[in-house]
Amino acid sequence: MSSPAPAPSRRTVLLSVLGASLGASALGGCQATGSRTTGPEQDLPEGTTSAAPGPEGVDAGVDGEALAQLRTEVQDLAAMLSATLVTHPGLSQDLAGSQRLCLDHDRVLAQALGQDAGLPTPAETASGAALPVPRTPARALAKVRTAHAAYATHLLAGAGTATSPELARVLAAMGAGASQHHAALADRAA
Amino acid sequence: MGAVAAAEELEALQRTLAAEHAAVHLLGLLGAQTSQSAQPERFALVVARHAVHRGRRDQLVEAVRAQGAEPVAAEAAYQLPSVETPARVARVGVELERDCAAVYAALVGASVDDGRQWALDALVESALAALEWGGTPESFPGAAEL
Repeated sequence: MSSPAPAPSRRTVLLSVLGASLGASALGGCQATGSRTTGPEQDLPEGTTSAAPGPEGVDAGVDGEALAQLRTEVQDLAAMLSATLVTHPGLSQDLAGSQRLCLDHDRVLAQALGQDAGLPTPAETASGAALPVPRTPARALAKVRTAHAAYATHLLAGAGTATSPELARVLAAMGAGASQHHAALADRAA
Repeated sequence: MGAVAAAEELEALQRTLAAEHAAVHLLGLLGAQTSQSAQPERFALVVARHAVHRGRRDQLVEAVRAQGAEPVAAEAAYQLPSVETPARVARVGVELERDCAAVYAALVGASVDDGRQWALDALVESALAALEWGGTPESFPGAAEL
């Protein structure tokens, strides 16, 4: 007598969502260019569901976790921007581009994760981190710049290690965008 | 790397090389339209970008040869944009960096390890150069369809 099939884990669900999203229309209709991680099926440690990549080469374990972390980071960055603007409304022009970047990136990351897009309200971070805003606009801007730089670094690192070619391309473009906005903020502060 | 992946990387390298050939050609045109005495900063930017793109072109030629293939040659002629004013020169500068960013983003997806890191660095460098030409920051440089 066979035992009942286990309920799908978060990883299994994520894998199917990522595969569908990245392979079809969710990321602009671009087809993934093929997998670098296909290979013979491996024996899995107990408690895991799959070590194989998704239909388009997406590995839910590696790529999915990276995407989830990046979404948390962009949501935290958006919350920081909102809180900064509440304290320093005079920075609205400086931070408008960054706010648009956060909205765009959250949309793509949410799509890839099969989640609803939506940024948190001011003073509410996805990671639960506190949001103290520096008292002076210059220091507040410096803090935002630092967060931008870290976000860009993490996106580019994610592009470097992504197992899906299409995900690597998308994260690379996002990292380049975050780098551009960081540079623009530095120019404004100069 | 499998045969399919290697072929995809080679194809992406050749497309990137073709884009760099075009960029080098265009930058020559922009240099000819930029006065060194009247616009020293712009002229310095043209010279610097020409050097960067020539260097990348040469590296791509080597990368293609390392894969045992013949690098694509530059076209005999290119359809040239209008560059009669400094503003048009700047616009062409932004566009050529954006075009290069797109092929480097594709190369990121088609390559692995050191090759991917090189493509990533080139993508970011071109994205930042687009700002130097007067472009505005984008959310997805190199993947405008997103």
